[in-house]
Parts: sequence; C-alpha cells; structure tokens
Amino acid sequence: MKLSLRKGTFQRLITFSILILLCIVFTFSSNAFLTPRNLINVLRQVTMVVITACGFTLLLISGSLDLSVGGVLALSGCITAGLATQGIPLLICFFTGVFVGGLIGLLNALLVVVFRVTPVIATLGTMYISRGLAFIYTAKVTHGGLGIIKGLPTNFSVLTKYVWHIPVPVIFLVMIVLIFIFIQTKTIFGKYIYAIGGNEETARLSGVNVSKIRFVLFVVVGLLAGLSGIIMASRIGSGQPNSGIGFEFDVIVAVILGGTSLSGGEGSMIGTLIGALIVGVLGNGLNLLGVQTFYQYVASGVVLIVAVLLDTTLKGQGISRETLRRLIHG
Amino acid sequence: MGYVVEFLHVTKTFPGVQALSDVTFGVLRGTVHCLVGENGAGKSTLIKILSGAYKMDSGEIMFEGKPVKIDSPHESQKHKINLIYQEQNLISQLTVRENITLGTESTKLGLIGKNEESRTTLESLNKLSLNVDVNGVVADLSVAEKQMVSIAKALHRDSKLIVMDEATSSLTVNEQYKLFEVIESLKNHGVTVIYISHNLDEVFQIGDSITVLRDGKHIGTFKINDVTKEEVIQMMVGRKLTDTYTRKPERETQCVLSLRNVTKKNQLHAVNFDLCAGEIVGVYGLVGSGRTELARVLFGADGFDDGEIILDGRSIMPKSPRRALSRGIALIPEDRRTHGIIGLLNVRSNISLSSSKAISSFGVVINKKDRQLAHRYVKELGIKTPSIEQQVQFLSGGNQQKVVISKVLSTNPKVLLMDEPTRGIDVGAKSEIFRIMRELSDTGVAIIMFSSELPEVLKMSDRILVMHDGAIVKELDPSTATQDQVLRYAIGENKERDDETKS
Repeated sequence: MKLSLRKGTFQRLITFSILILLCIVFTFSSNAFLTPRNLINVLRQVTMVVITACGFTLLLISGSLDLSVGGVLALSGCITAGLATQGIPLLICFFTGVFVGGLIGLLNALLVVVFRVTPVIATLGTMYISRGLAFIYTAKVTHGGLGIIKGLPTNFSVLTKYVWHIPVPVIFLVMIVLIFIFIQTKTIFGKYIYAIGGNEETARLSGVNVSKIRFVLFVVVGLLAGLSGIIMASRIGSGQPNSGIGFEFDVIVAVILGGTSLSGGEGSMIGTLIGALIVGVLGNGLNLLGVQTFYQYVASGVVLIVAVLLDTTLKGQGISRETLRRLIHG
Repeated sequence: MGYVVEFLHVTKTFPGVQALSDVTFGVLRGTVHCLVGENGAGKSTLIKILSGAYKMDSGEIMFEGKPVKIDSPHESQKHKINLIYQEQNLISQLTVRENITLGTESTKLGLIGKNEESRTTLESLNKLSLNVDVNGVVADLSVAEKQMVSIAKALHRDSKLIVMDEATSSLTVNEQYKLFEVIESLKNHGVTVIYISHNLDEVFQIGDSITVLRDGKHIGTFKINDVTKEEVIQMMVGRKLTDTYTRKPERETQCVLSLRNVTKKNQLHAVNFDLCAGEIVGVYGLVGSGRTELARVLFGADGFDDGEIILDGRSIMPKSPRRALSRGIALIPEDRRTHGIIGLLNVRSNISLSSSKAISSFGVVINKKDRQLAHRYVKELGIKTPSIEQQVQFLSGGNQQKVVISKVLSTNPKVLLMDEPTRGIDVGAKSEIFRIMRELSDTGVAIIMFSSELPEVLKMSDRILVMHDGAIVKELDPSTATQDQVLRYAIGENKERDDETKS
C-alpha cells in the first residue's frame, strides 16, 4: 500500500493529537481524571451530543444543517415523560418520544426538500416551534407547571442503569456510532451523501436521487435528536421544556472540530466522535479542576478556534508565516 | 524589444505529479506568445504561478527585467498582469458592470459612481461588440456571453500583460473574430498577450511566437514562422498521431430513439428525428439554437410540453436524469466542472457514481468491485492519475473528461448524449475521445454529439442535424456538406420555413 496522507486523515490526526494532549494535561493535573469510572462518565456526558452528531455529520456533509435538534430534544423528552405519568407502558413512551423527533425531522424534510426553504431558515423555525410545543405540552400536563416530574414511574430512569459497569446510554452511543461509520464508509447511501455535498448538480445528473437522500437525512437527524431527548429525560428524571438550549451548537462544535466542512462534501464520523470527546474531556477536566462554568465557555471557544486555525495553517490554506509577520509588525 | 516576463528554472510538484520541471523561457513585449501542450503539460500550472494562485517550489520569475515575487493574485494585478481563465472568474449574482469593475470601482466620496462605471463598462463591451445589458445579472448570460464578459473584464483593467487560458473555447466564430481584432489592437498598444489554446489553427492565426510544454518540461520556444503545425503537434504529444477515421459503411440498423414533434415553450419547436443503433448523429447549432435544451429534455433534466419521445418502440417521458439513465439514455454534460465531476471525490467514487447497483449489494459497496470498475476504465480510457484514490479536482481537464466518460459508460447506455465532448481538451485527448466514440458506436451505442465545433461535427458524424431557433432546420450528409453550408443553415439563412408562423 502506498503511503498517502489524505486531507481527511490529516485533519483527524490533528484533532486526535489535541484530544490526547488534553488527556495528558488533565491526567497530570488531576488524580481523578484517568480512572475508568471518570472516562465512562465522560462518555456518558457526550452521549447525546454524539448520537445526534452522527446524523448531523452526514447532513452537513451533504450540505445542509438542522438547528432544531435542541428543541426536538426538549419536546421528545417532555412527551415521553408526560405519557409516562399517565401510566402508559414505558417502552411505548420511549418509542413515542423518538417518533416525535422523527415527525419534526419529517417536517424539516418537507420544508427543505418539497417547499425548498433554506435549511437554516426552515430548521430555525421548527426549533422555535418544537421548543414552544414542549412548553405548551408541559403546562397542559402539569396544569401550569414548568417540568414534568410528579407521577413518573420509578423505572423511568432505566436508561441511566448500568449493564456490566457500562451505562445503557453508552451502549446506545457505541451502537449508533458503529452503524453510522458503516453507513458513511461502506454504503452507497454514504457515498451519495458526499457526492451531493461535493456537487449537487453533478450528483443529480449522475442519477442520484438527491431529494430522497436529503429527505431521509432530515428524518434521521430528527429521530436521533428524539432518541437523545428520551435519554436526557431519563437521566435527569423529568421532562424539562428548557433542556437542551444551545444543544444544536454543542453538536455543531463537535462536528466542526471533527473536520466536517461547513460547505459540505468533506467530513467523517470518526472525526465527529473525536470532536465530541474533545468537548467532553475539556468540560470534564475543567470540572475536576474546579474551574467555573463561565471560564469553561471561554476555554471551549478557544479550543474550537485553535483547532480550526491549526488545521488550516498546517494544511497551508490559512495565513502564511509572512502574512503573520506583516500583520504583527505592520 | 526586451522580455516582459521571463520564467527561469520554474519547478513545481504536486502530490504524485511533477507539474513543472525546470521551465525556462521569455516572452517578448508587445507580442502574442502562444503556450501549447497536452492536458497536464503544465500550462495552467505555469499561469497560476504567474498569477500568484500557486507557489513555485524553486525557480524565478523576472518581470520587466527585475526578479519579482508574486504570492497572491492581488500582487499580480499590481504588476498589471491580468488573466482570463479557462474557468470563468465571474460572480454570477452580480451584474455585468459590477463584475467588470470589481476591485477597480470608480468612487466618489467612497460611493460607487454608477454612471461613470456604466459608461466605461459599455466602452469595454463595445470594443468586443458585445451586446449585453450592463445592469443585467451575469447568471442570466449564456456560456459564451460570460466568457466575453470575462474578457471585457480583463480589457477594462490597465494591463501590461494579459493571459488568455482557452479564452475562445465557447465562443462562436464571430465572437472569436472580434476577439482576435481586439488582441491585434492590444498588441499595437504595446500590451503583451500570453495565449493558451488547444486550437492550433487559432495559434497560427494570431501568434507571434510559440512555446511547447510536455509533461511539465519546456520542449521549445519558436517564432511562429519557423515551425509548422505538424511539428508542433509532434512536440506536444511526443509521438505521431494516427488520425485515420473511416466512416461507417451503410448498413441496416434498427431505430433506437425517435422524437415526434417534441415541443418546449419558447425553446423547442416540433423537433423530429430518428436515431439508429451504432449511429453518430451530430447536432450543430449556434448558442441559443436549442441545442443544449434538446439535450436536457432528452436526458430528463428538463420537461417538455408537447410531443413524444420513443425509446425502443415505447413512448417514454424522461422525468429525471435518474430515470433517463435507468432506461439507457446517458449524458456527458457541456460544463464538465459544474455538471460532470465532483472535484472533492476521488477518481474511483466519481467513476462508480452512476452505477451503484453494479458495485454494491443491498446498498453496501463491495470495495473489490468498486476498485475493479475504476481500474478498468483508468486502463481502457488511459486516464492519467497517480492512483484511483486521487481527488478528481487535481486532474487535468482532459483526464477529468475521461473520468466523466467512464462514469457514463459504466451504465452501459443505449443512447449517449455528448454535449461539447471535446471542449477545452487538447489534440491528443481529443483524438482519443473520438476513438472512444467510434468504438462505442461499433458496439451498437447510438451517439448524439452536440457540438459547436464544425470540423469535429463534419469529421465524426454519420449524419448532421442543423438546429436554428429551437427547430431542426436541415439534415446534411457530412461526406458532401461543407462548413459553409452547415453554418448558413445554422444562422438561419436557407431556411425552408416561414419565420412569421412561429410564436
């Protein structure tokens, strides 16, 4: 085999080194970091972001994005909790939660594919709609309350249980990541997604059913956001209409850190996983060190920008050293 | 008369490709200096280095006798070097005026002086006798008009050196003629032109000197009168070209595709013709004749209002490219870069893009079949690429076109539509593409070639259909027809219909 470092591989190497670097720094600065328990904890914290980001990565590679995932997460969580308080079997509640996510995804798909609304606008709209519906539904169920807690069956938190020392959500995470790596690298569907993101018109003229693929992607992202919603509800043991505010940006940060291009055509699932882990490890490590949330925001922002800058400069597309010198010395 | 530009030992390597090695030659002031070579010879790379789009690995560029360092397009414009690329560098959402004056806006108190700009823009357009709306959006222009606008853009700037990279590839005969006049007058004003073209007739018509590149090496620089066209071709390809083509003897064939009164409002008027298996039909028409529209309708990219398309005896309604492909109608589009390839994807993925069924089972790609398919076509069509994993954007134009052809062939089409199949492709690749077309037709594939290059239509077609104003106005036999004759029908002379009866 010839040794040729492709652009994607290179970018993953960079983000992977950043992840390792962060781990090393935290290992030395906190005794609690490098323990199996804590690492599992990190995984559990990034579960929802990773699960949603799996679909989101494919969507972004194809050249679209979905801002409604945070609202969907809240809505499906609330509906799941609401139904559970009415004595409906838990399994049905959970499935309904995921299904509701799929419905919003379907709405996004209709708006974007059939009515040709720009993805940003369409999903911005459904983000507000789903968040609003989450509040309305919660108020209805709780007669004016702000969260669905009362009357939940005790086993509602089943998704936080451990199987063999591994939390159930992490099992979900691993399964979904594996499925999506398979879709991305091995299937015709995955290949078409890159083709659409690379050049939609060429893809269409080559016989790719662009509308169908885009449609499916939006529904898939909706379903995954719904799944994240029930995991979230089960974990916090309630349906909270204001949960997952800013969730869409956590997902976007993970995907971008992972090297998926905002303009489509490039990206990978492994990259996204690394991206999400960087965010997770950073948050976890700073928590262990007792750094306040506000500083953590700043740190996250810095890491994002540094990672992207490193990537563009090392690839030789960003600022050159001479430009930098000129900028500094006027 | 000294050199305006001198290239000294210019060397550039891309991953897996030696694009330029030790290229040294000079361009005399006030001359038209032609740069020729096959695809991948390094012409475009050299020009991109001159314009600051690429950095050379080693070597030097002297501009007006002084060594210069050009590390950005902005820098090259400071030296009054302007480029007209093969790919048009226009912003389609802006107007003609805004495009032409981009970066050189005339301002009053920081505001754009629209009237002043409109006046100067119009001047530039008039020089080219280009009749487009100054305030119209570029997206609405035809390919040829866009190309003329990008030429006007370069003229609008104060230039010492203008580089034209395949500037005439989509121009009509008249427009070309206008352009040559402009080049002549530029020359008289002391402006130097570096002219890159695959069309050696043009080169010998307007060039003063000529530089031949091959495989990134400088083969030679000559005064145009010191070499013959045949010598230049030999230097370009490094071998003798055999270009013998014998037209197919008449034989009984069955009709594959028939069009009956196919009509599309304002674009196609009652188009009728039959296409037989193994036949190459050339459709010739000027820009706006309905040539491209016809191709798009046949391929299902656009719908039609009235009439019937019959494939293998069954009436079909190609609603989408996907359906057209599944029925055996394939298209090699005119605009390779935006409709043919996916630059970010590798050669392998581009080739198998239309034939997913053949390389997968239950939606899962079988890597072995995928690679086999790619290797097969890379070998059969002679695609020059370091590996099948190379991104297509890094291949030369001719090799990109071969990738597009591979993609289309892998669907085993019955009817192959080729829209300007040799646009921007050098002589070597051109004759290979003709050979491929011939071989395909021998296996029974029916080919419709839409082309605006008369010599190639006359040479390759078994029949010629001439289009004008959305209708087929004449069928000609290429063994007896002359270029003149075809052109006369195409511009609407010799018309056998009354113009007034049409809407």
